[in-house]
Amino acid sequence: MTTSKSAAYDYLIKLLLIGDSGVGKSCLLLRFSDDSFTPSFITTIGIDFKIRTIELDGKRIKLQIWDTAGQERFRTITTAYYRGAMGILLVYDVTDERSFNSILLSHPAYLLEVNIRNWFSNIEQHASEGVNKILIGNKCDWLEKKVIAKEQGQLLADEFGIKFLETSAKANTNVEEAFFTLARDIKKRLIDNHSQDPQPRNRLDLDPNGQKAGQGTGCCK
Amino acid sequence: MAKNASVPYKQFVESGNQLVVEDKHNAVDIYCPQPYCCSLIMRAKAGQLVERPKSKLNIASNDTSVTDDTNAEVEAMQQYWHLSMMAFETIAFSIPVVTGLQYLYCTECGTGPLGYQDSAGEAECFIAVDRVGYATGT
Repeated sequence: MTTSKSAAYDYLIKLLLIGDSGVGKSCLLLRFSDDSFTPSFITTIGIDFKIRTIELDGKRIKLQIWDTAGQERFRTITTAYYRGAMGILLVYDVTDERSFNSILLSHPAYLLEVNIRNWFSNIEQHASEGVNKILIGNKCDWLEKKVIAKEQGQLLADEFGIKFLETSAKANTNVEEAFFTLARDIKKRLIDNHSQDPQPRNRLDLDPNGQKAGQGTGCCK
Repeated sequence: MAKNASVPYKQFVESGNQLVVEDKHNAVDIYCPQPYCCSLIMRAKAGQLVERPKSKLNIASNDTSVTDDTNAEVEAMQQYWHLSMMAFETIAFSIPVVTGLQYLYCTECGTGPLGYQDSAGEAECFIAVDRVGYATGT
């Protein structure tokens, strides 16, 4: 497989972005994608995934980060999408306008919370057990439109027993931190505590073209 | 990480820099071509120089605002860096278009397509040599 010297890496980690349409998942993938000067098509075609190489504790780690590419609109996020995922970023929009505009609900956070709970149970249902998760409140730079307080996000994350960060893809706040936090937790779970986890090899087998990209280079070598 | 000591392909070769080293591998680190971005896409020797149809980079779409004018003249083949998905430092894949291609973009700024992966053909990735920036002074 990828055995040339230049392609060398120590671990491969597959991450997923989950959440409603419009919360900025694609923007978390592309740092500048909100900016008008980006001459890009990719936001219209849609991002499938990205590869990013990071260094953690002196190890070269390839992050493979998947976007739902709009499938979430059709509620077709099922087991196939979650297959092989080691970490999930559950993303919501702190300025969520749908909940704002809802005439049925006087409390703006209510509908959003229902949505996040739905996504969380979707993850629980379809993702592998023990997958690392983090709750992300995106668009936190947009203060004048913010309707979900940081404390509300933190409370929900505490209830789920997962970490929480507010991010802004646009202002590049905490985006790196979010991916690094999750990657560090996964490394801890699957690699540092390797002997306690019976099946990390399966989770590294995740190439979309069936190339089995992690084989021979993953955490079980 | 990203250094600004990167120049466009044309300037790089016209300055007499060596494009390839042994076995046609790229001699230097390769970056996003956008001056404001310069994200590190692949390290030296990560890719190998090959020829593939130029038409692979034609996006199956009506919007053509991203078309690079310097590539306007029609030619059958062009040079690409050939590498595996996992050999990249960072790269973004578009969802597959109708032709089965996935276009490759800079992960930081979304500039592209810089190349393609053909899921119906060869599984590996191709980066157009003239759509990326090259490290200088190393």
